[in-house]
Amino acid sequence: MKTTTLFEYGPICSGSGDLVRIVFEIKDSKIVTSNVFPGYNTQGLEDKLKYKTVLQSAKLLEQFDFDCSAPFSTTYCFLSVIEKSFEEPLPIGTQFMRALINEFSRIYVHLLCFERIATLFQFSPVLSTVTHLIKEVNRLFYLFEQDYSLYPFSFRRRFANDIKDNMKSVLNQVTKVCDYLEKNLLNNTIFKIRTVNLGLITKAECLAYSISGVTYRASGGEWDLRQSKPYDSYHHLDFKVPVGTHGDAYERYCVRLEEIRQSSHIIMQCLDALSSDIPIQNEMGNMFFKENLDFKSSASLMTYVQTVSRGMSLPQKMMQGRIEGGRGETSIYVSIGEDAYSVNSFKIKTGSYYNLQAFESIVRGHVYSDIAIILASLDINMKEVDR
Amino acid sequence: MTIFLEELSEYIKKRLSDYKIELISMNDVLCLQVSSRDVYNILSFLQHDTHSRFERLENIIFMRNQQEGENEKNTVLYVLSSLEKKVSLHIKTDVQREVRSVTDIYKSAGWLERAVWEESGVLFLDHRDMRHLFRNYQY
Repeated sequence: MKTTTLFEYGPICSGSGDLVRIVFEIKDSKIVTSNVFPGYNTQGLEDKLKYKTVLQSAKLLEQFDFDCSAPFSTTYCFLSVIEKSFEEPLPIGTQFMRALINEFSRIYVHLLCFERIATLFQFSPVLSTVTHLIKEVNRLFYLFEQDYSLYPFSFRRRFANDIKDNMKSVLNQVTKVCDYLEKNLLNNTIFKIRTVNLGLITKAECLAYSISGVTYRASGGEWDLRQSKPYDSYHHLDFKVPVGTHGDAYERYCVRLEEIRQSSHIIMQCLDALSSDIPIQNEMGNMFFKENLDFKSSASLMTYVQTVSRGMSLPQKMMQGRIEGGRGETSIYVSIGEDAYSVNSFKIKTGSYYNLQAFESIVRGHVYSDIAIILASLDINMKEVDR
Repeated sequence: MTIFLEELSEYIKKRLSDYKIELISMNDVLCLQVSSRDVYNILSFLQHDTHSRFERLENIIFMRNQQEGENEKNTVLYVLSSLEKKVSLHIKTDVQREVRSVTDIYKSAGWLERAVWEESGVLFLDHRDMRHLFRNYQY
């Protein structure tokens, strides 16, 4: 008579200093059930954000995005939610600059995923190549954070020429590394044996678990918010959305690699658009920057002090918005209190949450050594899940 | 967009004439108020109906109303979305203490309901695995 064995997996670190514990029940060396215990990194972010003004929340979310290694993605979503409620269009330059930063963020997220799988397989040449590129992209993000951080409706200044050259040289490296990854990782026999037909998830199951992003597209679903419901500048930009067929771990990596290429294509288009003199600020955005205001009248000074200290008064009761982030759709729901300043509830959801929930059913029937590969191919970041 | 939402709301009201459905708002998303007893039936209709295919349950949000006292109403908001029609739908209910779970209809409700229960104490009946999600009992 065979009995089942309980197996504890973790608390393990899944990449960026985050923890998850999973308990598996194993019978005949196959996994029967799995039980995920998230919550090791809970910071109470959603509760903290209730007591902040709009500017403070944007800054806090920016720091939080760096924590969960998807820079600027939830900040972008939050600001687009706030801006949509005012019904005033964004300046075109700001739209392109945001798209550019968001695409760099997507490249960064996917590269981190490749770094993790290279670490698991111990492909040291691939690992060192990807790690070097990640450092280069990361340096760009520090520059963005210093001078080009996201404000409602505007940016503080245009991209300088040296940072544009910097971006172009990074993009050159990205195309080279993509070719290298395709040749040395995706066509590698060992990699194929270990990942093809592993961690299968069907399109219908993806819908039931409300999975989006790379995991859904690899299973054959044609849904990308940038193309199916274009927001901001994405209807000006020309790009393809890669789609897989049956949704195993191997296809997820193929889709990721193609998305990196498409993102760098988008960034080149944004840089072309930004070379002309298009506006990056408007009146709504101007009130956050002291240097753009004249404080000759006391009224303008009062407005500035009030917007910075008390926040903006928000016109709508319930606001919601979604963007396509690196790990899937990022959605934010904000409900505003009676006085139009305070926040009643603040909810953020990203793709990792739904992926981790589906992991319990994906992993059923696999053997113990497949767990790490499936977890890595779903690209789960626990800091995004816990909050 | 708004014309399409009007058609959709009329269609839902016509097909679900047995239940009490109120239209709350219609800017950008359609928001409907229903009674907490009917939530399960209405969601199962919306998922299986071929005209309005709301295949995804994206979020369940709990909102505690500010005024305290006897008539304190807590609201639970179900966020559904349809990829074919490219619309999302909000279903609002006022909940006293318990509401029937929708895990049979949408698998994603499993964790979402656990998170709501942990946050607010609203009990979801017929949920197979009603444990805390983030704040584990062992901590």
